[in-house]
Amino acid sequence: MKVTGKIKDDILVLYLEGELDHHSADATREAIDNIMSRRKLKKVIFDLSELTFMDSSGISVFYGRYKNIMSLNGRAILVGINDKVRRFAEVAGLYRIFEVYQGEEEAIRAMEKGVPVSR
Amino acid sequence: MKKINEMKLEFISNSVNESFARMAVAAFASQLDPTVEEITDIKTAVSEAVTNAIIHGYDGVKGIVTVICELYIDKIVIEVIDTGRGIADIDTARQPLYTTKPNDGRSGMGFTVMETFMSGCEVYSLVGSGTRVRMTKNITGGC
Repeated sequence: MKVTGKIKDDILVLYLEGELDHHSADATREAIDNIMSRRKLKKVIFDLSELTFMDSSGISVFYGRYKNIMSLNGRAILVGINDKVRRFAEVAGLYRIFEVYQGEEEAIRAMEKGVPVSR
Repeated sequence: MKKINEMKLEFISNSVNESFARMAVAAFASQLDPTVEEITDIKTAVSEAVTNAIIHGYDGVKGIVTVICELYIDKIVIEVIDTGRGIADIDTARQPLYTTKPNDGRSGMGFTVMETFMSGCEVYSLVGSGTRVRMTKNITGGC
């Protein structure tokens, strides 16, 4: 599992690549938290287009990061949910918690408008 | 119904083997020509069962996880077995969001995922002896 990030203005885009399971969950959690605390950004887009597998260990990674971002009055968006993880994301309720957009550009535009979708 | 193939895996309860187990079972199941969605469902359920065996069954102690797969013309039956601690109350353990390890980043959704993604899921367990999870997946694209 690989986590990389890029910053556009005050928005952090995180790219998750690989398989998110119990084996990789701790390292993924730590990598995301490190990037977020180092950059001190609270608008975060998670790009899942290269995420090839996710099980329930991934739920706690995403729910935990969502909780952290909300505690900072931030905003969290998922993009690039592909066929390999879509069904799991639906069953796990990620669509009910996170704002979800097709791609990064759309999500950045939504962030820049500054109007979060209420959920 | 006639069994057309069978395989058995045994591996140490090391978390790196979660990926190995789900990939091996998916490769074996591919003999039935499942859909991509069916393969994803199988991989997810196997990952949950093996993770449970490692985290809850052996709980940090090294043990052997056994995975047995049986192929029939239109379904695969998968058993994930550990000889670890066992489950005292299976009905409670199967409740959504129930976990004995909330501080270890566990969501308590393992059994719910297995039940949702597979056609059947049965759990047999004895405290001190271990747990056997038997899952069935009907394959619509079967040969």
